[in-house]
Amino acid sequence: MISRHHFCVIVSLMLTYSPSAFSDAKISGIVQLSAIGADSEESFIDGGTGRLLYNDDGIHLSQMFFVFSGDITDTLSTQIVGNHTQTPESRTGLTQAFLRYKPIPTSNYHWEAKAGSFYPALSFENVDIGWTSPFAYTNSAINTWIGEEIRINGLELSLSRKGNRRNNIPHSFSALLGVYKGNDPAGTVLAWRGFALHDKQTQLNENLPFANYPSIQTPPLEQQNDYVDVFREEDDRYGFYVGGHWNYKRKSKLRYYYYDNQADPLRVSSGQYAWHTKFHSVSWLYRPIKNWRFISQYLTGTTLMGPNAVYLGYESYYVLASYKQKKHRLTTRIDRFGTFNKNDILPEDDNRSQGTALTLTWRYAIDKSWQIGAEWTKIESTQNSREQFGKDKALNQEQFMLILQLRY
Amino acid sequence: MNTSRIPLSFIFLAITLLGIVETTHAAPISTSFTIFDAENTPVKDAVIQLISKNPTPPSTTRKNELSQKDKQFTPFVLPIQRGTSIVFPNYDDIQHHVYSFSGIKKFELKLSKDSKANPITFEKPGIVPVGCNIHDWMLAYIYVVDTPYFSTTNSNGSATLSLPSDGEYLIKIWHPRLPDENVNYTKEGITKIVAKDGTTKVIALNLTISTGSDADEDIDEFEDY
Ligand SMILES: [Cu+2]
Repeated sequence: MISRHHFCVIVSLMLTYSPSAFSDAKISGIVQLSAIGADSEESFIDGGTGRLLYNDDGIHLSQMFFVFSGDITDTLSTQIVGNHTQTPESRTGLTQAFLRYKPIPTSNYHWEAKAGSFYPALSFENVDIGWTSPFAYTNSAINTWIGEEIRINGLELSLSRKGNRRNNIPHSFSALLGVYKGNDPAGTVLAWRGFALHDKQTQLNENLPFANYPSIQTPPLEQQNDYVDVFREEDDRYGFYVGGHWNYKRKSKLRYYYYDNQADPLRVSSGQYAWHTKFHSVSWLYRPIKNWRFISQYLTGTTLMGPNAVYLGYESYYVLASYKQKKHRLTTRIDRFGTFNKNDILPEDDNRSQGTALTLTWRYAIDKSWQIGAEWTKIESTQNSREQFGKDKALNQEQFMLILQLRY
Repeated sequence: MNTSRIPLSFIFLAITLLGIVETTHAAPISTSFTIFDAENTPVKDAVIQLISKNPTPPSTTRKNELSQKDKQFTPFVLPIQRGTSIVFPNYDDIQHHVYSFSGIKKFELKLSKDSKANPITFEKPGIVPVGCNIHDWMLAYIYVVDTPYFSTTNSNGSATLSLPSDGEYLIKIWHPRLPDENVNYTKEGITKIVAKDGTTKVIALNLTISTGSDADEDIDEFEDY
């Protein structure tokens, strides 16, 4: 499997280079405890249909990860992110591991390359270490899904034209191209569960569970497991993405990506189908004045599995406003999301859903290491597949969290 | 020309010159300059150089330092005299990878905290934009001048130069936002000044400078993926 192959490369690199071989090796990370007033709807992670990660009140270890970064040469560096999760069970693994080659520019055009397992830089939300968000604790519906099912196991090349004041050019541009393998089952979880809201990132060899819907227990979908092995390679085809960044100073930034895993939807093995998943993503960051920032992202795409067995459209956007005053940060975000059937041949497997979510977050940085915070999330949604369990398709959830975070 | 008709992207730059004479011909003359734009806002980080036909060698050795602190260069504009050198101390806990691909001087320095980088000497006059390969937004300008009489303006828009005697000097003004496309030594605004006993002069230069303050270049506390 491709992702395991990358582990071998990275691990052997780590063994070959003793820590002293890295001129600037650094380990950082976050340990985060959350006291959660949970919604009682059983979470998808435990085989339920809830969109949130927790359904028990109590104190949970909600994040625990490390980020190792080291320079192998002056222009070649590595970053490895590993986390420990307790949902659904205790498990430790890697979420990212890549090499970055960034030569010294010789003109106003800069290029760089990335190889390994990493996220495409779709949004302005997950810009803190380890691809976490410094704004809300719970990711947007879009980036919850990206953290669950999208990871690049491959190569990315980017070419940038930097603007600067010397040339009186306040605009800078980048063009990006990614080629990868794996990620064939991406889209599975959107089909039955729909979008979710949490901060769990799937480890590179982790299975992501969802409810065992009656429609996947019976033909013709009986080969589908009630989990997704997200980063699996099924068909030996290459996926790709293209991206463009446009920055106006550091005031306004726009990003567009088109992702297509080019999977062969007729392939199935070990209970996992290949899903032909493609989407467009547009993100915008706007910082009108120093203490304020607005972030928005829109994502729309389709995923196809089997001989038109599941043909799903999906769409989501969010608008986030964040205000920082000294050690306080206040964030509010509204998410809209939906999935819709696109003339597939199995009307009894109804994958339609829609929803709205509101998230309010307060964070207080006590010092460089310690942070406390609170967050309230409310989701109003429908998920037609819940009717397979005799449940109402309406799914309204609410969650409150108090957070203690340690950075090291 | 009526300034109110000037497009927003252009601002007139005016110079107020105060020639203060200490005593006699032989004593050094302390000369103050203040630069305002058309909106009467002081212009920071402008390089002022005075060129004499009979320059004297610099009497004091300047400490030329382009430091890195809080992922920014200080100062933003650093003028130095041709043939002198700069040190690049890093006051951050993290590394910087400082480089220039300018034809005036190419160099690269990987700088850890407290690393002792050898000073770099600049032999050719001209403008050297400096960047950091780790923090793409970091930017500074080294301006290698061919005269011992130069300074940058402070946040009040003013600079004080010490001249060995009164007489005729050529004044050159440069600022990063002057629309000077080629990085040559020729296109600065040039006029002649005469530093004399107790005179105060106001010289208007038709220099165009693009709008935008350095304040909107504030760095984002969050980096990228
Ligand atoms: Cu730097």
